[in-house]
Amino acid sequence: MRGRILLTWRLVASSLRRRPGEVVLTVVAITATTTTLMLGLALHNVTAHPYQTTRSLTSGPDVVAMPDRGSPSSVAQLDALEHRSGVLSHDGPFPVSYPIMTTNGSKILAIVEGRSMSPSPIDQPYVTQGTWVRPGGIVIERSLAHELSLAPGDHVTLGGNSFRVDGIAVTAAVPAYPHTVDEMNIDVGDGVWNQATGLVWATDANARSFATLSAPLNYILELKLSNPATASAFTNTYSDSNTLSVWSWQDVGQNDAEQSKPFQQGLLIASSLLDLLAIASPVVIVGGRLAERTRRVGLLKAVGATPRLVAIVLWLEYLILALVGAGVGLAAGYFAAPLVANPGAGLVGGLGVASVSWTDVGLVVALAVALAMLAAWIPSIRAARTSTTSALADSPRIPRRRPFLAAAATHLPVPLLLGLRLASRRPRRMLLTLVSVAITTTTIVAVLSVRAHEELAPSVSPRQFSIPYNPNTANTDAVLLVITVVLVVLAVVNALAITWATSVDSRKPLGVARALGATAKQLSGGLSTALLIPAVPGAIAGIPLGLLFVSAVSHGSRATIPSALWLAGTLLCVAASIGILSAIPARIEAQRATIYVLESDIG
Amino acid sequence: MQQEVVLAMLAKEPSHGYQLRARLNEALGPLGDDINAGQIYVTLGRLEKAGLVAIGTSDPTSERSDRKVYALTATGEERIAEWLNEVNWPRPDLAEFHLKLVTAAAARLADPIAIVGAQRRELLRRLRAAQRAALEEPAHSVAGLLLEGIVLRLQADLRWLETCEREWTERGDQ
Amino acid sequence: MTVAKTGLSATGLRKYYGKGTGLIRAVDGVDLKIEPGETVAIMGPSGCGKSTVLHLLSGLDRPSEGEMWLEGRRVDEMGERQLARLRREKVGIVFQAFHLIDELTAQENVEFPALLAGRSPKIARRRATELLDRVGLADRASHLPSALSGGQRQRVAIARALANDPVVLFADEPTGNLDSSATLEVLRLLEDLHASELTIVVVTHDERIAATADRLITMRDGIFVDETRLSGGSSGRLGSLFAVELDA
Repeated sequence: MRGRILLTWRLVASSLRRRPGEVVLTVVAITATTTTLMLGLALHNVTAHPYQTTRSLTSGPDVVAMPDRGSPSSVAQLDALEHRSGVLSHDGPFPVSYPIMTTNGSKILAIVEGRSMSPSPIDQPYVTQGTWVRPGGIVIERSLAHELSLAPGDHVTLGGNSFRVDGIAVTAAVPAYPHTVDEMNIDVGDGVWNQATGLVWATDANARSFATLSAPLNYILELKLSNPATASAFTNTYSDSNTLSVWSWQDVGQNDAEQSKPFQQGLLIASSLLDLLAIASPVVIVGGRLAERTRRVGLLKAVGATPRLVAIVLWLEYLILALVGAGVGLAAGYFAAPLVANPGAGLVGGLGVASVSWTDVGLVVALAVALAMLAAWIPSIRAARTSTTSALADSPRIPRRRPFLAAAATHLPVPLLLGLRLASRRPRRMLLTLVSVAITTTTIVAVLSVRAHEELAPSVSPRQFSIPYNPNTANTDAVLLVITVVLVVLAVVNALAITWATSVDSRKPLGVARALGATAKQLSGGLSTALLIPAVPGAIAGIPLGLLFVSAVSHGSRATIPSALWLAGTLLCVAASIGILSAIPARIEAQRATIYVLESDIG
Repeated sequence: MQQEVVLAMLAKEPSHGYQLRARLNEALGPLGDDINAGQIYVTLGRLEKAGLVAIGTSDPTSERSDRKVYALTATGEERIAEWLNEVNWPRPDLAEFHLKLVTAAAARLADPIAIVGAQRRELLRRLRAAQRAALEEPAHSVAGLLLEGIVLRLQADLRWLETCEREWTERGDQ
Repeated sequence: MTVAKTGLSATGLRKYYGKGTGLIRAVDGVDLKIEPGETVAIMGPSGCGKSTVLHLLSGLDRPSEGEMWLEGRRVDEMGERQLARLRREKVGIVFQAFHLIDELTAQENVEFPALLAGRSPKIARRRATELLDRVGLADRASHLPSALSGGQRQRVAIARALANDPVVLFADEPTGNLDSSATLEVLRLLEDLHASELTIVVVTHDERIAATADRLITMRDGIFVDETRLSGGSSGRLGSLFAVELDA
């Protein structure tokens, strides 16, 4: 028994050692696959309910009320609200003022809420960094802090005075920056009116100190209802009021959801794309050259291996490669996921911790094992079926004769002649190539489509003050960037695998052509042509498929067609990359003397 | 060749001497060119003495031997039947050459390799000649078959000579 | 060393593989001079390097050392592009394994070199028909290699090697994979070609093939050990070579 294990191990080791190039390529392909899958899974997990988390952590209010500016009876109105039926408890009213906040060259109109240093029963903002308010210090809402690149310990100027940033917190009472429900225009001097944004908490005294003549003090009231679900109905009675703004937790939740909706959707599309790609790669790996396996199987059988031993050896070879690839992919995915998992920074959920569960890990490993089994299965079946002699004889299938193509090709220049003949030898591989390129192009076009949509519909209107872009859009961009990078890497890996497989298969006929006097350029052109013949239609097909994919995933709401320039660019890039990649094996072969290429069994 | 060959040539029908010669030539192709006509008549004479052949004349007026008609006797026919069934095969006579090499090496008279080489050259030339002749024969010619046989025997001999060369080289190295 | 304007020659040809203790001297110093129109055969035991010599002479492989000339031009110094041109225009090669393209008919296989050389399909086809006729396979022009016998396949391969009218034909164990009757087919063809002005270099272990040559070179352990002139001698009448005598 031990002898058998040792033998099996030796066979596997020697086989892997003999083909270092193929081993590396397979591991890279599997790594890319698993990384992609990991990212996809991590992104899926990020769409957990961030708003709910914030609400429960902060004891978020069911209803929030804030008088419109300039309403004298504001406090009295709030008073009446507190005693309405259905109200369980209340907190506040807290003073609200509107100083100008200056920091790092940015200038915004802040909304400052005055709070006590001890926790409030309703809407106690959850501090994510630093501490809660102290005299001389402020706490900034997380989205805003992220936007202005502020951290605890920094200093900002509020209302002309310098304040310390004591902490960063999130709340469920008010939508995260850059959204606000106080749509009031504020006179900021110079006759300019602007909307206030950006929530900041300070001590009660500090908040009151910011009130000015043009921006007098306001108040905010937080309510808890006996039945939180009725909050929307509650606020509806005030919808016509032009003295009081009242909103429910559902409004805020929806608002936040809407803010992150583009992002969520982007995530959904992205993760679906990644999953799709994760499947496309194994198709290439498994569908790749099996002739080598057939000969190897023949050799093993000839030295007396039973079909079962053959199957085990093959399976082990692939399993080792698959597990190595899976391991690297898991690690890479784990570290890469935080790059993308950081949506609307104002929400607690999705805090940038890659939420990779053990089920995800199990899924990925299972995929790798399944791949290995699949790859080993087909040649193992063949091993059981074919006779040893025919397996040893190599040259698995004589290509079918295609008289029309053979004749038509003679009228073409030499590289096209070679390419067309090569392509017609293995129609199944051509189909595989076409599908693989189509999938890759589909994903690229889908990304372009999402990008195009983002450009068309920015979430915020332009502002006077120098504020950088919308963090949600920015995050979507960051996600798309990462996804694009992954796509490109995966596409390159796919292309390499296809190119390699085709070039190995074409070695013999190209070797003959070379022995008969074809030049290196003609041979290289032939290989490129053979690859481009399926690749170009695949790339073209990918365009409508990509748009279809996007609209299918986002339920019809998204398929913006990217500009023709981008589409043309995509086609060109795909074609060019296939062309360039196919030149590499051709180049390598050109270095060897003709006889070794022709009689590949030698050396 | 044994005299039974000439005897068997008569099996088809009684013939003149020149007819026998023609038949022999046809069967042997270019190899038959050098057969001496006289030899045939000598053989025929012997066969007649042995009672295997009977001589008759087509033209009673002529005294010339080529007018004689030769025919098989009953004993002759029996003899042919026996001959056809014999499985004697010309025995390869390699011993002489073999001993050439052995004695040359033992007495250091000459280099066996050189002897083999010379012999090889000779056989190659013969092979070339026979092969050419064989190729010139029309397809399925009887004579061509004979030439093919000669070629193949020469090829076999050449193979043996190559082996000899290899062996004697190794012997020399030791 | 005077360089012949025609013909094929080589001096100090060497091919080594590996290094150090693993060094293999496949060809270890070979000098050769072949006149145009000559047929030269190289024989030797397996592993003696005869095939390697052929690969070097035909440009299929690069020598480790040595010089080679074909029609007055240095072959060993040629770049890959020039070698490709050499193979297209000057040299035809026949292999033991035929190396025909399986999915093309005999005709299409023979057309191939002409197409590679840039001839029009019509001219290529005409040439292919001529050549197939010459090798006696005109009736098999539209057969696939799988439908041809070994001897027929090799004849197609020879026709293909002649497609671009080369000055030298290299044959590497042309009858290695053939039985005796197929060998005869090829033999016949080689004799036929010998009669034309084609220079032929054939590597073989078959004495019959070797016997078609004007000169036979024997090789062992990477060097030439013997050279025999087979032609030009008076063979005399056949009968004197092969005793056909009646016993006394």
